[in-house]
Amino acid sequence: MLLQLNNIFKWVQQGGQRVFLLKDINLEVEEGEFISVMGPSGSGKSTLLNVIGMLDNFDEGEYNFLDEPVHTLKEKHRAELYKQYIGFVFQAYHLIDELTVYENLEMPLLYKKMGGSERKAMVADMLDRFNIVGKKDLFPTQLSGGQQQLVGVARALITKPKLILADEPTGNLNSKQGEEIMELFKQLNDQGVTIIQVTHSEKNAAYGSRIIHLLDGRKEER
Amino acid sequence: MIKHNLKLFLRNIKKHKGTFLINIAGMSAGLACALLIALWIVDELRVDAFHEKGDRLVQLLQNRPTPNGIETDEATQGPLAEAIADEFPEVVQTVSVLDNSWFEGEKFLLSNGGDHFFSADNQFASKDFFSIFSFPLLHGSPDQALADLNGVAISEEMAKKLFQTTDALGKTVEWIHDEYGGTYTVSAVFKAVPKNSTAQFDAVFNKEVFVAQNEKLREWNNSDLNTYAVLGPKTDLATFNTKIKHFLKTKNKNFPETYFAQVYRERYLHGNYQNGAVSGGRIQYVRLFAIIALLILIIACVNFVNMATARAATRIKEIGVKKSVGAHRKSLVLQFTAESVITSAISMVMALLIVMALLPQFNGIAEKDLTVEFDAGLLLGIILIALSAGLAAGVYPALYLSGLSALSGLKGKLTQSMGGHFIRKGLVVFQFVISVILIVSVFVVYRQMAFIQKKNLGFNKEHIIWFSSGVLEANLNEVNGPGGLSVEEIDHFLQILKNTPGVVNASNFRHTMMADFGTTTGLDWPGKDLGENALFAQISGGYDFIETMQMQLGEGRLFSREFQNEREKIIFNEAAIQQMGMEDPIGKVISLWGKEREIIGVVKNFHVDKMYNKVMPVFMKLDNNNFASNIMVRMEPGNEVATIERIRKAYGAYFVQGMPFDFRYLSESYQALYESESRVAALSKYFAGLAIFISCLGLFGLAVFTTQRRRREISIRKVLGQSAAQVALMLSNEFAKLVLMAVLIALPIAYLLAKHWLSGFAYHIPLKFWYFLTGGFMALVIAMFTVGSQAIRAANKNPVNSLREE
Repeated sequence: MLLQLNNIFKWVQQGGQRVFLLKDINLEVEEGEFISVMGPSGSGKSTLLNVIGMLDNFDEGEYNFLDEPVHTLKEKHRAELYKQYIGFVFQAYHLIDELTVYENLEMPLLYKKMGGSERKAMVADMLDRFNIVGKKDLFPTQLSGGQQQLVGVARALITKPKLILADEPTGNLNSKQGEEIMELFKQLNDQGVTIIQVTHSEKNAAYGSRIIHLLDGRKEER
Repeated sequence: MIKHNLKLFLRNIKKHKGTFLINIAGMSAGLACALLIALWIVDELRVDAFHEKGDRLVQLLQNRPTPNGIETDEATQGPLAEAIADEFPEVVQTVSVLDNSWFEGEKFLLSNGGDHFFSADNQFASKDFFSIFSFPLLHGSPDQALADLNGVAISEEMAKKLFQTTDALGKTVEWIHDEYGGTYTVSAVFKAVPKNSTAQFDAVFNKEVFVAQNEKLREWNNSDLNTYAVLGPKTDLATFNTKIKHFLKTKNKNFPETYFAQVYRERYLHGNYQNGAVSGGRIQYVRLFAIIALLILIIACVNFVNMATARAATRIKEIGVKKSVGAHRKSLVLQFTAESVITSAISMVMALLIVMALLPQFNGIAEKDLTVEFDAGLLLGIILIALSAGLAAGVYPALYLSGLSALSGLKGKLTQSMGGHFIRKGLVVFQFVISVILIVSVFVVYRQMAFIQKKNLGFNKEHIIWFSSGVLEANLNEVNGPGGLSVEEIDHFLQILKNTPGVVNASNFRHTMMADFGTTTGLDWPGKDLGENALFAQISGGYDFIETMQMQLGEGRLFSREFQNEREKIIFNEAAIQQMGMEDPIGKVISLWGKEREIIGVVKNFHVDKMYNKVMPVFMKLDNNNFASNIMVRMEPGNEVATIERIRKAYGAYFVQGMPFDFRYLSESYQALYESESRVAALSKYFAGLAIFISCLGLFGLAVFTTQRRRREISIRKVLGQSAAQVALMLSNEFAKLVLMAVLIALPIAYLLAKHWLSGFAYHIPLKFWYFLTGGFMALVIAMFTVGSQAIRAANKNPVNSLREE
């Protein structure tokens, strides 16, 4: 089992009342799954993704990731954990505008102990795999949205994570570009990478092997 | 990783050129100012510090009780040097010096026997002069330099002028002077006197030459010579001072003066005395400037911090992304601190360039000869300053930026609860308080200086030149004849001058009218309270002196050739008559130094002392002889250059040909009286400009930061229908409030400072309300210009863009 959420609650205080962002979430994810998270705006999709990605905290419950109890870990250990096993893909790509495609891909590797030549090989491999060798010296703003997201996915993959978390990865793309990205995810999943994506589109959700519906922070059983 | 971060740094600079330039400008301006002041301070501290005897080399000063309190005097009795050397075992060596100031800075003429003359600062010293002071000799030995009565030690420049070589040992020097003139043999050539020596001289003669003409100096009741001593290595100065305090009593128990010794090299910075003890001096300026340098450096660093945190908004995404791929906080802190240190290093290089560019002007204002020399000390200092400024300015933003969570970074959100925001506003207020104080100070100082320039002095200082004739002989053929100019010769020469076209009037005189006068209490009049020590100033001049000065006659008449025995008459100013409480003074008789004199005239009050003091009571007697050996010439306005050329010719024709004609404008001498004030005025102008400049950068940083923070609010306001102008106004208002607050704090402080400074002048401008109003208003206007551009830019942004980010 890759990860396990047990009775996760997350809330904020608003006007003396607790407003629940996540309410009693239970979830088990096996390696190799492709999960789509769906739900209306404000239902807690992104919050759930951020909790799984350890970018955000929760208030109650247990979270085990590869048998490590995340809820008891210190910030630093958590960072070590997600650095090693999780890659993020964002709706707005979040590439660093001041770095070239090559440098953006290289960046995650800088925070791992790794020799320069090894780094070079990995970046080259990734450029090759995504067919963007010719773009490696361009800056993000010189690319189309689809190309930028391609780089975003490549960046998420370069550290060879077990889990890819994608928050509406096609939200800013047109349908053709979106389809390409989804196809890519499908391929990755076939190669063994676990994927959890947040999406609004039924069509994209269908790529997943399992769909989770959220409403008002609660998991809806269908 | 370093390569990566460097690329990020450089590309960010490229993207935000404006902010980067502002940052560099502020920092380098602050650093340049601090550097200039540091150079100046180091130079001040080095004055007279080159003497190898150091702390053991002391000067003996004497305290004299007077009706106005204790006066401290550096002139001491002739026999003192030898007496303390004999009677105190801790005194190793002593020397008596009579420096050029005794002759009131008069230049002397030296020649090599030919008819080419060079003006020189001559002084007299006893034989150990060169072994006590560290003025190294190029030729000759320290113990032989002043051993002979007709020996003279000259500087290498003077040797080159006279003999075209420094190897002048044994050559003859001719000194033209009515008392000390004669033929001397060069006994030593000393290296050029360093610029940071307070003693400046071109030639040193044997003290005995002077004493031979002034035999009274062998007695204990005349003080003229400066006395210096070298103490033994283990002597405690305080103990020595208690021992010598009453030494003069052992010579004559009626003498009230007491002695104390001060370390020679400390006299330059600690040269003011109050109640017979050292009380500050130039050291106060040194401290003041050190504080200013520090303040400006702090302000510059504060800005740096402000700008860096303001820039945070542009970097938060980078931080979020880096954190989401697992960057540790440590690596981010390192990255941002390094950026700050590099920026400060770049600023330091800029600052050095600025300093080198400004140094000539700065030297002009500060009357210094500073240079930037890249020695180990300077380099170390620079690296240290750049590093510490960079760290001080970089660590806070680095911690702040790196502390943002990955999530808020990715969402592009700055933490809202910022205690730092309040501090930042406070710092901007602080900066503006200093700026406003400086602006108002500049106003007040300039008004006061203009007031002094335009003040009616009671005489007319314009269109007058003066020069000395005291060392001259009327006839080239009688160079070695006795005495100076005779009464007839003076009269003759004045007549020649008066006949020169363009000359209005001319007279001989002793005192320049520029805070230069003798004082005495030796004046008695009928009805004088014998207990009181009424002090009078004495101004001496020949016929036409009062006319040449264009003083106003109140009653009676002036000295005139049509009357007999004019030299036994006296003229007062109104203040003197008032001090004596005299009614109808004309014709009354007073007694000056035991000699009776009739009052023939009263002139209206005039300022003979500096504006610090009330108009002095002055008496004037007629001295148409060589007691008053300077010449003053009033010229017609307009053609002064040509007139001076004619005077020069007349001078050359009457006196020795080829003699330098050194003259000064009286108005220049007047300005020289307030030299330190003008210098402070000029410097404070720059400091004020710099302070307001740096403060505006700080305000700008705050404006950038605030508009960034409030851009969502601005968008919502605009969507709801507020116009761009209204939004700009609203944003500007917030800053106007800050500046206004600073103005309110600054004005009372400025008022007190201005009042304190002006209270040093007996005659000063009234403190008008509008000085303060203008100062505050200026700060406000400049601040609004700074902030306005940002506010307008923020207000004109498309609201949709920033709303979409949420």
